[in-house]
Amino acid sequence: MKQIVIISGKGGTGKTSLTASFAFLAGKDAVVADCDVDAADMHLVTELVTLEKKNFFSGYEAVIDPGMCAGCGDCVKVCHFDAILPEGDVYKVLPVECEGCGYCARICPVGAIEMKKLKAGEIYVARTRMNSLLVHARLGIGSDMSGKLVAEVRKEAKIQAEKIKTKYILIDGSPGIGCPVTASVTGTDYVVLVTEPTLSGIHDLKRVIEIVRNFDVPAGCVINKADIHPEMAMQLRDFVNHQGLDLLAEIPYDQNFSKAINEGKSIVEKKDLPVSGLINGAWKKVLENIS
Amino acid sequence: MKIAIASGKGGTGKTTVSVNLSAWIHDMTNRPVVLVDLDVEEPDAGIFLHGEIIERSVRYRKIPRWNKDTCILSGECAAVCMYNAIAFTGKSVMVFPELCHGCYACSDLCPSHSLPMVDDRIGEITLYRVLLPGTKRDFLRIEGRLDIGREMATPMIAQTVSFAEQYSKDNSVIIFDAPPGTSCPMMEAAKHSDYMLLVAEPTRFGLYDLDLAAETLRELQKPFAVVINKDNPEVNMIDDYCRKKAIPVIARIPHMRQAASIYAGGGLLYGQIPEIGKEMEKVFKFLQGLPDERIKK
Repeated sequence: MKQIVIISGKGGTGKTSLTASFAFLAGKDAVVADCDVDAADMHLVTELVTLEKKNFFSGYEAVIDPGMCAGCGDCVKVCHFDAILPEGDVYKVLPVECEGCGYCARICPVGAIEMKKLKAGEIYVARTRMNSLLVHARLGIGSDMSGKLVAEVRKEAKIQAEKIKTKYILIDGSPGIGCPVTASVTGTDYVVLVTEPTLSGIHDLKRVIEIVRNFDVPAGCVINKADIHPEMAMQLRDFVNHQGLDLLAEIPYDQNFSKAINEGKSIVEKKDLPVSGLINGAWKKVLENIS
Repeated sequence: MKIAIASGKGGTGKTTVSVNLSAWIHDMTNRPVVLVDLDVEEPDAGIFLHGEIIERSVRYRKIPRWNKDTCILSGECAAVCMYNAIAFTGKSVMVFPELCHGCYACSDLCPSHSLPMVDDRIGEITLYRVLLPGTKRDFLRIEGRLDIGREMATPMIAQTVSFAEQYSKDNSVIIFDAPPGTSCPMMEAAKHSDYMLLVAEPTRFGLYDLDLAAETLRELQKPFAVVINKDNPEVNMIDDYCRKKAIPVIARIPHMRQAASIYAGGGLLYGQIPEIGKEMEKVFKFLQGLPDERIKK
């Protein structure tokens, strides 16, 4: 089984649209893992039947029992996150600020602080209308556990893929350069970078590629909106060549991308479009590169 | 006035609104403006606003470092760490900086004081003077930039905000270009602002992610309004949603290929596309009309 991850560094380059298209082209051969857990949108382009739902717990939050609190204020002194405030004669925790380090609970002289396990999000296994499986998640509000949730989503996708023996796992990766994107890329067989010929697109691609280079994994690039700035497109092509990335496709600016999203479809399902052929070609190249 | 510009989904035009609004306000009202790039993983505002560096400083956070000469191998450090950032093998102690949240528990509670907290580089903060194109006037831009491979965006954002506060006057308009998403980095930026603008695009992805961001801000009790980018008169889903949730839609930036291409080359839009200048004016007038005294200032 091969794992293919699609990432972009910059948002709005068409990463999810491309992943949805690859998922459609792969059909039952792939389990899709939506690891863009902060903005998990893959489920919006296919009707789903949810098969399983699991809670994902990660991290803790301090809770002070006001009946037991002696009001000594030792907890405030040790908290490095300014998460504890006085309230009358006792103290209370601001849940948004609390990092769950447990320092206050450990030193409270009267044992008034309990560390409560936090639900960080939910993980779903669902059947798509292509009859393939999608594993997706929803992160709780303000949860800082997205890197771990990515790992959980991928673990679940792998279990499902092994159970039904699919050829591929397609991963819609996280944006940015932090922990979630590292967790999306680690252990994959091929990385597809989606970018656009804009200064921001090139800037963010350069940053995210340094993450990819930490892993010994082949990578290719899809240039989306390739015709919006010829000069930038040239710079981008040079960069792609220089980095030794496979150029998988150059896709022109096309408003059908947002139309397809709004119809709840992947763009390759609109068969008469030239961009569909280009995406098809990119998918074939990915398959050649991993075989 | 401290305004954070955010979006649930990346790539909806958060930076476009931040840079154009900052330049427009300074251009048209001559107010002192400080644009603060808090999208520390991918700080892109500088692509559109050029200027000279006034000051640059390396930023650190504190993490524990094992001192094996004084350690008595109690194992207390690993026992107190809730993040599994310390491994105790019985013969040695290992610190995993990428898992450390800097709570000091291991360091303070170590019986032999063998885990002093030391500096750990996370990134850089740079202060720029931005020259307004075609004029002799300038305003400030502050950029927080997280080192690649570092995973702690939140402390970098907090440090960038406090740095920015030193350079803000009473009548400054402070604009935060916030990180995308709805997790801790975005909430850290929200915490320091008086009012938020959420930039949304009229697609199902844009709507879903707007809903997540709006829910997060409600939870934080942070007031906010919506700016629609890549507006399409035929698609009303963002308007319908905002009407239902009683969220003001204060401006709409039309979907234009010309805008995409100016953006691609790193240009400002409001000078070349007058409709976009008018939308920036609407945003500023709306903010000035808000009842909150801090925002009016």
